[in-house]
Amino acid sequence: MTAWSRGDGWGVVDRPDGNVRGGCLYAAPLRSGEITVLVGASAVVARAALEGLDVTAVREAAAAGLGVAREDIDADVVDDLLDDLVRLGLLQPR
Amino acid sequence: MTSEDEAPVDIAVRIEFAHAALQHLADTYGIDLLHVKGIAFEPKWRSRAEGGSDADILVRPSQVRDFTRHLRRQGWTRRSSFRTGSASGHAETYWHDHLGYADVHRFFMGMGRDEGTFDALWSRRQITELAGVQCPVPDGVAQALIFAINEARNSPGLKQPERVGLSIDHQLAVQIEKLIPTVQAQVGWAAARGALDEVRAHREHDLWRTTRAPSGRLAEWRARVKAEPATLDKIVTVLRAPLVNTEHLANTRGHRPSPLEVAVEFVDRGRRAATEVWRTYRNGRGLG
Repeated sequence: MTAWSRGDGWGVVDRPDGNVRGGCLYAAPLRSGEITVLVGASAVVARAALEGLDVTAVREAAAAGLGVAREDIDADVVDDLLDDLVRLGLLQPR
Repeated sequence: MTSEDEAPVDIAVRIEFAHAALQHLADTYGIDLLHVKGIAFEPKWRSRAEGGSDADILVRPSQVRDFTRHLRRQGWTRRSSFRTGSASGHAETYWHDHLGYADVHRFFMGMGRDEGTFDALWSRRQITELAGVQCPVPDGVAQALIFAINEARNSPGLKQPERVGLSIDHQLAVQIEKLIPTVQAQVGWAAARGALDEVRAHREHDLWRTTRAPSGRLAEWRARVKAEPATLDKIVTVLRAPLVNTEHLANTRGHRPSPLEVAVEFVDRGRRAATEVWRTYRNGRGLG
């Protein structure tokens, strides 16, 4: 089962509390400093993946973080987001 | 997932990334630096709870030139130099389009300028995590000392001993007193305690006095010359006194000044200096 770690040379600032459920997670490659902002459900998924959870656990964490049933989490959407974060460089498969 | 152009990013977040980016650069090129002030410090040693407006670092003096060369290649633009940034020439200011401002210190005003001072701080460093990156910071005692000195420098109107006294208890003060000789902070600490008269004979005394109680550009320049440790540095400081600070001019006007603007400023600077000399002379003779 795939799990991830933070990409080399990336920084992350996590603000889990805030107006939006799931909060914000900011990520940036430290060489360029260009900041990507993940809000709400995206932040919850990225946060769980950065903790080293596998894809099943990420989906469960997303459900818990958003206060919905696990069945209500669209697995394809989660997988697509994780793929995007890998392409971005924030996540690297372990 | 959105870029920073589409979603607001708090300045505190940018500053945290700036610290992390500076540390990443230091790690890449084997540079020793300490993250100082603001969010790098424990909350009780911050001037402002949210942590200020820039990322401050203290770089090992022998590696400053090397570090700033790498910094400029990494998208950081210099906004003020050591020569023009402040009276003591302790820091350069850099700007990054995504990360904002960073102050690169080659020494900390109120502490020694040599490698030994940096070594003393470095040998008792701690690690704090900023944007997920391990960043070396001074230990709690050194943080308290730097905070006290910085407050003394930035708050000339404040009743300093009372404010510092609120934060620093007797036990911590004893630890700070032990640290002071190793980082040559006698004058800075005296200023922080409101006791500058105790160090009247020290070459940095007058510079701190002008910082605490501004008394004109001439007095400041005299103090700057006196504070320089080496004769050559004193001469250089005297020679630079009449020159226009073009970086400051550019920052205040929002554009690079033209030769005409520099010339006008040069003449005006001379006029202001002459006026100040006349006022000093008149007051000295009791004519004012």
